[in-house]
Amino acid sequence: MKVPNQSKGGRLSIGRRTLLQSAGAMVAAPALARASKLPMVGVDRAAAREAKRIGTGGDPLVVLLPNGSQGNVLPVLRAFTEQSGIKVEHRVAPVDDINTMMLLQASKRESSFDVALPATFGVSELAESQAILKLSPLVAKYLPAQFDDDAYFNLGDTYRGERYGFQTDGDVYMLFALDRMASREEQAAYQAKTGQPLAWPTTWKELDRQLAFFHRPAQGEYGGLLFRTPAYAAWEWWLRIHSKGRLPVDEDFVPQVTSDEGVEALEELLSATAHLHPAVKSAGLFDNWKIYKEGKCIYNLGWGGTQKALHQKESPLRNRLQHGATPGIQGAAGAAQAMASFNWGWSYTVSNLSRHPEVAFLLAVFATSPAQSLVAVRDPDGFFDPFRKGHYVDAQVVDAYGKPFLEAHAKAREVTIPDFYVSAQEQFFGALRDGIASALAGERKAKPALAQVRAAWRRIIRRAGRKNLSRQWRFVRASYPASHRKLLR
Amino acid sequence: MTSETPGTRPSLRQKLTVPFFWLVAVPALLGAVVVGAGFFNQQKTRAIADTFVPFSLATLKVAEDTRSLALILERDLSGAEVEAARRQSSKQLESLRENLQAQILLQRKVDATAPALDVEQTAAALSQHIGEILSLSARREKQEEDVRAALAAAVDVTLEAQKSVAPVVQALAEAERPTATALHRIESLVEAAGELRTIAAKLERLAVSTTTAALEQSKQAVMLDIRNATRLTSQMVEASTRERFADALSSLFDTLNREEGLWASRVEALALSKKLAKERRAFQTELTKMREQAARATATATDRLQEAEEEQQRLMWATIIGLVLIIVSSVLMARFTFFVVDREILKPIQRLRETTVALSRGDLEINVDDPATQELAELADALKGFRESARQLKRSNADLEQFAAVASHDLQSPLRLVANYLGIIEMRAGKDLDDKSRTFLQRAITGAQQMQMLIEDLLDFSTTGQAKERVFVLEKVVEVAASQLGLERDEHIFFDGLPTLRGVQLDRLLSELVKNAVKYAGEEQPAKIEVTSRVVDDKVAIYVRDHGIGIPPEHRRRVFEIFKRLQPKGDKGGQGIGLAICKRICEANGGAIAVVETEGDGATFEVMLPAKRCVNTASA
Repeated sequence: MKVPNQSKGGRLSIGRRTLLQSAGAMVAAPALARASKLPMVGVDRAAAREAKRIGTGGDPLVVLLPNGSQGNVLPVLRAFTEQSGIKVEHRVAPVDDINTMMLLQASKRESSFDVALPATFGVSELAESQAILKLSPLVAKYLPAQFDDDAYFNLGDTYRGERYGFQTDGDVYMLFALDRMASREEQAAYQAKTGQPLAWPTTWKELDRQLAFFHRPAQGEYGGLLFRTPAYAAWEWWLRIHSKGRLPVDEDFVPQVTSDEGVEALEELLSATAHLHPAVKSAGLFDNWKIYKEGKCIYNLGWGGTQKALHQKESPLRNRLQHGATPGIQGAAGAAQAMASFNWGWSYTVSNLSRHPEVAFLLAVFATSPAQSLVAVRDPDGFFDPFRKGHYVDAQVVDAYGKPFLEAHAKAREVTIPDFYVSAQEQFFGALRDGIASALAGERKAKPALAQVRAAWRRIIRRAGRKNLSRQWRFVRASYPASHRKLLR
Repeated sequence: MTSETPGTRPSLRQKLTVPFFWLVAVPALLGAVVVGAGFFNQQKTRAIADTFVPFSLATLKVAEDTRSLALILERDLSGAEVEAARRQSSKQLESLRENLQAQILLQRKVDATAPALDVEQTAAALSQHIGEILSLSARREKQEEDVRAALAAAVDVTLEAQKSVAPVVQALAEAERPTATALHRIESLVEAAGELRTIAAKLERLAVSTTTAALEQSKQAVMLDIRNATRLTSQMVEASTRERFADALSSLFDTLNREEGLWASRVEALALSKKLAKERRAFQTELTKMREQAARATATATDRLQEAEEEQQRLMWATIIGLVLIIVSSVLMARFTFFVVDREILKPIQRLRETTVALSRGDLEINVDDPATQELAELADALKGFRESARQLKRSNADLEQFAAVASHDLQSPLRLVANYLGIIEMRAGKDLDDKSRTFLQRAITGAQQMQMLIEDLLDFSTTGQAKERVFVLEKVVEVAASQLGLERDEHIFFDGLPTLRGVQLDRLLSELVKNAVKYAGEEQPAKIEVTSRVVDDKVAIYVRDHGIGIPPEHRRRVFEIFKRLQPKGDKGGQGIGLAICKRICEANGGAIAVVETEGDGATFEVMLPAKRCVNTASA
C-alpha cells in the first residue's frame, strides 16, 4: 500500500479517506450497486429517514457510551428518535473500561448493545476480536463522499484499510497553565533563581524546571497536577520520548523503549512527580478536573473536555488559563518544534452482533454528521471536543471553550502526532502502563521497568507479526507532521 | 528637771500606768490578731479540703466512666458485639451522667463561678455519638462482610478460570504441531492465566487498602491487569477456554464495578470507616471536653487548696512575725517602761542617793535635783533641809575650829611669855626665894608648861584630818613608832604582814595607838605590844593590843572623847587627847575605831578602814 502524503499540513483525513475509499470500494462493491448514498446536505436528517425506512421492528437500539459523555450523546440520541421514530436506549460504561467491556462481550460471543462508543485507540483490537462491525460496506452504500471533508481526526477509525468507526471527539492532548506567568514578581523570582525568563515551556526540561519553581506545598500550591495513574502517565512518557527525538519503536518495529532517551524520559517523569499535587497518583480523569479546579496547581495536561470542565460558568478557573501544545521536540539546533498528540478520542462503532446493523450504522452517521456532532460538541457538560472545521466557529462552542482555547486547540492540531494505531495497540499500551506503574510504585527503577515493557512488547510483536505491525506503523508514522518526522528516529 | 511644784506633780502610779498599759496591751492585741487569723484560716482550709476530697473522688469516677466508654467504642466491633456494646455503653453512660452530676455539684462548691457542663445536654450528645458509632460500626461491618464475600467470589472465579488453562495448553501441545502460532497460543494462555493470578494477588491488596487513594491505586492496578487479560482472552482461539476466561473476567469486572460491587463496597466501607473515625473523634472531643472541664475544676480546686496552704504558710510567717513583734514590742515596751521608771524614779533616786552620800561625806555644796514625781520630790525636799542643817553645822564647826585654832595660837604666845619670864625669874631670883615661894614659882612654871602643852594638843586636834592623802606602809610606820619609843621588834612589839594603805595621817594614828599601848602597858616593863591586821568583808581591820591594865567595858566608848582620862592625871601623863585624835583620823579615812573585847589581859583597839584603801594587803 502506498503511504499517503499529508498534503494539508497535519490534517489526517485525506490519507484516511483515500485509504477508506479504496478499501471500501473493494469490499462493498456489490452493495454499492443497489444503494443510493445519503446527501451531504442534511445528511443527519437523511440518515434518520433511512433508518426509519429500514426500521427495527419495534426493537430499541441500545447504545453503550462512556460515563461522562451523556451530555454529548443523549441529546443526539433523542434527536435521532424524534426524527426516525426508533427508540434508543443507552447503557453507561466506565470511561476507562468501555473497550474492556466490549472485548469481554465479544469473547463470549454476546453483545448488550447495537452501537458503542469505545476509545478510538482500541478500534483495531475490537476489530480483531470481531466485537465491532466492519463498516466499509455500509460506508460505501450510504456515506456521502464529502462526509469527512472537514473532519480532522478519523485516522483511528480505520484498521487494515477497513472502516470500523466514526470519530466523534477531537482529543488533542495539550498543556494547561494557570495565569501566573504574567506576574512580575514570579518572573523576577524565576529569573533570579534559574537565570531563565519565565515563559511558556516549549521543552519538557523547561516545564520540569517551572514545576519545581512553582511547587510550594507549604503554601498549598503545587507545580502541577498532570497524571500519575498508569493509564494516563503512559501518554506523558510517550510524549517525553518523542520530544527527545526517539520513537518508541523503530521503522522495523523493534522496541526502543529502553533506549537512553526512553529511560531518561521515564526518569524525568518520575523526578517531576515530586513537584505535583500529592493526590496525583490516584486521581483519574474526573478527579484531575476536580482538583485542578481548586486553583492550587499551576500546570496540567488535558484535552478539550478538560477545558470545557474548567471553563464552565461557575468555574473559578474560567478565563484564568493559558493553553498550548505540549512541549515539543528539541532538534539538534534551533528552537524546539511544538508538538501535541491525539491520544484518546471516541468513535461510534456498531456491534458485530447487532440485529439491526444498518440502522445502527445510520445512527452513527447521524450522530457524527456536521449538524449533530455540533450539538454534541456544544454541550458544556460532556467531553467531546471539536473535530470538524465548523465546530470552531459556532458561538455556543466558542462559549463552551473560550475563544483563546479554540485558537490554541486549532494551532496544536497542526502539530499533532496520531495515536499508536497498530494492531494490539492496547496490548502495547497495557504493557507500557504496567512498566510505568511499577516504576511509579517504586517497585522498579526506570531502566528495569522499561526492560519489562520491552520484553512484553517483544512477545506481543511475535504474536501479532512484526511484518504486519511494521506496515501499520509506517502508515501511522506517515501521518506525523512532516517537520516532526525529520527529527524522529 | 521639771519646775512643777510637788503638789501638782503626777504620782509614781500615774507615771507608770500608761507604759504598763501598753506593755500589756500591744502584745495582747497582736497575739489576738495572730490567733484570730489562724483560726479563720484553719476553718477555711478545712472547708476547702472537705469539699476537695469528695470532688476529686467524683472526678476520678467520671474519668473512669469516660475511659470505660472510650474503651467500649474505640475498637471495631463485629455484628454480634454491637448489641452487647450498646447495652454496656448505655449502662456506662448512665453511671457517667450520675457521677458527672455529683462532680459538678461539688465543683460549684469549690468554685461557684466556674462554668459547668450542662449534664443532660452532654449526656444526650454522648448518647447520640454512641448511637451513631454503633450504627456506623454495624454498617461498616456489614460492608466489610460484603467486601470479603465479593473478594472471595472474585478470587474463586479467577482460580476457576485458571484451572481451565492447563488442559487446553496440554491439548494444544499434543494436538498441534509445535508451530510458532501454536506456541503463541500457548504463550497467550499462560500469560492470561498469569494475569489472573496477578489479579487475585492484587485483589487481596485491595481488600486491605485503608485509604481512598490506596484503594484507587489498587483498583487501577487490578483494572490494568483485567484489561490485559481481556485482550489476551479475546485472542484465544479455543472457544470454550476463551468463553470461560471471558466469563471469569466479566464476573470479575462486574464484581468490581457494579453499583454494590467490590469498589463501591470498599469505598463505602472506607467512607464508613472515615465517618466512624470522625464520629469517634467527635465522641472523644465530647469526652475530652468533659475531662478538660474536670481538669479545669480540679485545677481550680487544687489552686484553692494551694492558696489555702499558702495562706497557712503566710499565717505561719505572720505568727512568727507576730511573735517576733510581740517579743520586740515587749522588749521595746519594757525598755520604754524601764526608761520611764529609770528617768522618773531610778535616776532621781540615784541622784538623791549620790546627793545623800555626798552630803554624808560633807559635800554640802552639792545640788539637790527636783524629781518629777511627788514622792521623790518630797524626799528631795527633805534632803535639801538636811543639807541646810549640815551646812549650818559645818559653819558652826568651822567657826569653832577657827576659834580653837585662833584661841590656841593666840593663847600660846602670851603663855610662852609667862612661862619664859617665870623661868627667868626662877633663874635670877630662885635662889633668893624661900622654898614656898620657889614652890609656888615652880608650880606656876609647871602650870604654864601644862597650859602650853594643852594648847598645842588643842591646836593639833583641831588640824587633825586635814592633811592630804598619801600611801602608808604600815610595817614601816609601826617600826618607826616603835623605834621612837625605844621598843624592840619581836621583844617589845610584835607585828607582821601589815598592809599598805592610802589615807590621811595613818602614821599618826598608829603612832598614837602604840604610844597609848606603851603608856598603859601595865606592871610589866618593858611593854609587850602586838599589832595585827585582817580583812573583814569590805573592811580592813587593824588591831593594836597591849597587855596592860585594860579598859572596863563601860569606859570603852568614853576613851575616845577629848580630854577624857580614865587614870588620874599624874599617873600616866598626857592630856587625854591622843585617842580623840585617833578617832578623828579614822573618821577622816571613812573608818571607825573601837575598843573590843580582849581575851586575857590588856586592851585591844580595833581600827576599821574601807578595804578600798588597801594598796596591798600583806597578810590578807
